[in-house]
Amino acid sequence: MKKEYKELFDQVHASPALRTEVLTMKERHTRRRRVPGAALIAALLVAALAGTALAAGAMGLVHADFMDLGLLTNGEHKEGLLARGEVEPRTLSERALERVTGKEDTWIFDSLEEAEDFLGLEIADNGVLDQMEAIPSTACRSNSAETITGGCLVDVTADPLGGQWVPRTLRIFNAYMGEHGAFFQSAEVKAAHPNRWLEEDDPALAMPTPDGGLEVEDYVTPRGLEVKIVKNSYTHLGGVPGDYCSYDAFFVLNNTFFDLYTSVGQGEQFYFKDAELALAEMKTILDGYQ
Amino acid sequence: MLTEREYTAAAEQFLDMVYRIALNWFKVPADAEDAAQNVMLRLWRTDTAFQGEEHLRRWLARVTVNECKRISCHPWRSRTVSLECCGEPVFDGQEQRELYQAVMDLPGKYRVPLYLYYYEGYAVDEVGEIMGLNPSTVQTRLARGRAKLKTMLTEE
Repeated sequence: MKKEYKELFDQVHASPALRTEVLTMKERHTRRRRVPGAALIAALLVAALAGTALAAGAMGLVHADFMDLGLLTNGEHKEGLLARGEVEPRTLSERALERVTGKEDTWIFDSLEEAEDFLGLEIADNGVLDQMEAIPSTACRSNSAETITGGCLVDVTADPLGGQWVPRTLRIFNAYMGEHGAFFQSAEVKAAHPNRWLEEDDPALAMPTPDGGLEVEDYVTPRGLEVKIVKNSYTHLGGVPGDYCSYDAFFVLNNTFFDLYTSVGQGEQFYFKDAELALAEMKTILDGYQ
Repeated sequence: MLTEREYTAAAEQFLDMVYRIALNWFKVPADAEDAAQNVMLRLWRTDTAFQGEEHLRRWLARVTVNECKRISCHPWRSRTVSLECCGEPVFDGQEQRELYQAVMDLPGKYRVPLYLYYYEGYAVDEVGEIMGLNPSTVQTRLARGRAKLKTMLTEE
């Protein structure tokens, strides 16, 4: 079978279009040392808390600091922004604690409400999102090519302590389709546990500066929720020039670190075609959190 | 940083490998091509000083797996635009078509280890290093992937 397998993949080649794209890439992409790439790191980093608060009014529970992000998982060295939320640990339900049986896992629920009920947590109350259609989220299990889809996905991390697995963080993902585009909500909590003695790091998201630049807007909702809206702009994505951007709105509510996200571009995989419309709808949603 | 000539030589030599790893990950040629594009852009921009061809080959394999994971884990953050004209591979005979289908019908966690081991010739511990898995996990996935493939081909 090994011979047949090899002969099979001898016939599998990249398309002529990809070959041309790759071989002409050097003509379209200048290089300089430490050029920021287009990769967005959607993983938690342990934050070195040195850094300069970005905006006036950075007091409060959410911070956005420009800093050296250090070495990223792809081996490149990046500068960028670290968004961080100050939260206290939250107590999970007994059945959630019992379900934690390893270092990392992803739990699948049909809806955010089902996840909240199981976890014993209230994550978000938003009348605007309640009027939008909930759409499935997709993620993958760690170190695996398996993708999983569900109405609400919960990434759980844990540590072995005293002969049992003790949850450390939970990140709850779900998504909504609005009138003009989709939004994704990530809500992260630190888990309280009677056995926990380790110092908890704040939930954070590191964003390397993209090739089109990065801007931060301080936004306060009518209900007084303080939000950092980060706009990442790209002039090239996947080797294709264009106008692309994404918006991440970071805030803390109920000791939960939120990232409300959407993206803008002309391809089908982007959720809005117009940046101003995306930002306006994002602020409408933010106004709905209570 | 690679010279232009070095980059062109690397692209011509290893693009198919990068594409095949991504194809085994995603199954969909368009997604595989998007990942391959990103990987080659990283190669063009990397500061890594490669200690020979094998070092470059392994770097590309590892970066490809990491890029596939990155795209997969948070697909709503995918930044690539699909190229046109990238259809399914075409094979000479019915047997090869059936084998390809059987390989692609395997669970994803078996396909990439099988490819790296049987086609690229990496040892178990090398496959583990590329994929971020311990060798015993790789051994298990290879054995189970082989068994499943054999069963699927026997049943046809």
